[in-house]
Amino acid sequence: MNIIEVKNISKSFLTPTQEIGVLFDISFTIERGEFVIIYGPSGCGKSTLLHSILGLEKPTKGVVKIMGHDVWNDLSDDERSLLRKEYIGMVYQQPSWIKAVSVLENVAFPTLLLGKPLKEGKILAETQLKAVGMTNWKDYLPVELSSGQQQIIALGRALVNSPQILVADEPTGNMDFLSGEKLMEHLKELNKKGQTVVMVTHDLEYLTYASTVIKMFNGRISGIFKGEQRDQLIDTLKKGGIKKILLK
Amino acid sequence: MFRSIFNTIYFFIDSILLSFLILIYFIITISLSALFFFSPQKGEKISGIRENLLSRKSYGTITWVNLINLSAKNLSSRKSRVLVTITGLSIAFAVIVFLISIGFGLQNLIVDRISSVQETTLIEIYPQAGGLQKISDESISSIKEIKGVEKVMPIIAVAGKVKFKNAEIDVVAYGVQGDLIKETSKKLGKITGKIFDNNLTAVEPMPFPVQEIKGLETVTLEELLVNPESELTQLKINSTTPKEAVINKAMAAILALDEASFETQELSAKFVVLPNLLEDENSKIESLWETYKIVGIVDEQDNPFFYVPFVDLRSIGITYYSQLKVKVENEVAVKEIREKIASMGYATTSVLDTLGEIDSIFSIVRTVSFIFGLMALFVGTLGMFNTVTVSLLEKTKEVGLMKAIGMKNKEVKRLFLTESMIMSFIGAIAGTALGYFAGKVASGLISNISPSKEFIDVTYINSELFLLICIIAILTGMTTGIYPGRRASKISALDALRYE
Repeated sequence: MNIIEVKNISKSFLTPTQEIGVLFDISFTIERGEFVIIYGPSGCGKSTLLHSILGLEKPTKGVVKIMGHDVWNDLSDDERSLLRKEYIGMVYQQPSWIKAVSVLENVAFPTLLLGKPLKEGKILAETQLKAVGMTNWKDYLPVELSSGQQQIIALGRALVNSPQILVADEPTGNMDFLSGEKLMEHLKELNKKGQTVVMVTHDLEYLTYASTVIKMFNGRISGIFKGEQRDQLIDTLKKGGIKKILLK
Repeated sequence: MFRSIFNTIYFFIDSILLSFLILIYFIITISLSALFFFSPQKGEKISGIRENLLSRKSYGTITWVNLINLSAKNLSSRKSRVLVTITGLSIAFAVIVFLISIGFGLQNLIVDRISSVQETTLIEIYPQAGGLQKISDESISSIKEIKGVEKVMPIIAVAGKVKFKNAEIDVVAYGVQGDLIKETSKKLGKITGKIFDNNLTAVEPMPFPVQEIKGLETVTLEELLVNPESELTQLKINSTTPKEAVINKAMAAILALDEASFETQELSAKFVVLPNLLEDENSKIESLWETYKIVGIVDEQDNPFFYVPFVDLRSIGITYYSQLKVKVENEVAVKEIREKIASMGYATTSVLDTLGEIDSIFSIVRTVSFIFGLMALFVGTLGMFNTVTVSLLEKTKEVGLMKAIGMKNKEVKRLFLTESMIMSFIGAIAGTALGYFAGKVASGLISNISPSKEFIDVTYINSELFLLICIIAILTGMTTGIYPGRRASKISALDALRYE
């Protein structure tokens, strides 16, 4: 079953002097339980695509469907908010926090938006922090932690409402190698348990975690690698053919 | 256009609802904190009760309690700035409470003083100036029939000539019932000695040509007339009631009466009747000299006068009375009874008129005070507006995050509104307390310099003032929360997440 459906998405930004195209006629589908990595060089439109899917950036044309809901044609702004908090968990490259409250309450915050009482939200947040091994930091303020720790906690926050889709935008961008690996292992574990993961990265090392790889270049999809194609891509990568992959 | 009006109405209702929820939250939190404080072993249990009490089960939107909790934590993360803002606001509220409570307090003080010397359930009735309607026995009967009237007490005022030892003076003499002296004793002050207990009023039928005074001998006019040939009719006082007089201190002073031994003293008096009290306004009547025993002295010392039994003056042929005092069941009945009496053609006065005038004057004083308070509040509100707006700028990224996670525009608006409401409520509560204590300090200082040295409370806080403070607090919170809230709700989540 398709959990995300993207049909002929295009996006351009109007400047005072010209119209700049960022995405051109992009179409793909993501099925439940897939681990999709969208990769490409900086500025190729990965994040814009992700934001269009999340209901944060309206595409110039095309259709995005999440769990069967037409995000941009059928839903209002508030309904898109509802869709995000019900079905999607997000991890950003730069973790953002409500600075006045503790790690535990930050992780619990998405549950509060669903109308759950704080007590219940805290129990769910504790479970997530335990799952990502950060229970000891629950009473700290998030900004007191390292960026690696913050990103792990952001993962906990993204998962606290048990979302259908986990979206990560360059989650390892600000992390050292080991922390990045740790985060990716968490994502891998989640995916093994059936969690759909959509991740955007420009780091080819992480492609090995994906079940589907979508390659983007200059606002267009230049390749979708599933099954054997994905395995071949990974083999090439392992043999050190990074340059070959990039130029392919 | 329609949508904009709808949004405004919705926002207004939402704000009112929010403010009441915050108020209820404060009350519950304070109550539970008090419970917790007094029974610490039950803290865990109470915390559980509180969670259940305040949480809402309708999923899909953030609960009020979580919104208030989050706002409170946001505020406490900027302690010093919020404290300065709340202090400014509370001073403004304190100014309002202080000035208005002083306005109410001084008014109450004056009203109390007046009420302590004037009976508020008494109505004074006079003939209309230039009117034809005079006060007679029929008037008394008609007024007695009005529902709510307890007692009708006539007064005859005449010019009196008094001889005491070698002195002879002219003073006002009042023919009254003993009851009237009792009912007006607040105004008259302390009574030394006693008052006469004669309450006779009716003399039936009217004295001319034959007087039949109730309980007294029947006499003919000819028997009363001393000199029938003279233009001036001189009459003997023809009642058999004890000849007792009550004088006031001013008269006692003029007579150089020894107050310690007045009970053994007697005075001679005769009374000159004014024509307006007589059937025939062309006739002139005065009584012969009569000896009165001084039985009491009242404290009143403004103008010299003395009281004699009503029937004494009635018996010399007086048909109409100078004045009536009507005692009614309660203050509430005064207005309606006065209107009925006025419709009979009489002029009426009541101490409530004076109290009404005092109320009008103090209403102006309170309004002016309130305007001064509002000016202070305006400055405080600007400070709070600044704090909330700066807070929005600082929290742009947080707002973006919350919206990206799924917070609705309405919830973002409420978050900012809640913050300003909390500051406004705390400011109002602290300001009310501050204003109240400032009032008490002022009362203490005034009491200290007053000659009596007793504590004079010049402040008064009533429920209307509390209601006014609550309304101002809600309006202040709304005013300062609307703009930042609307701006926050328009923030693009993406732009905010990119914001550094």
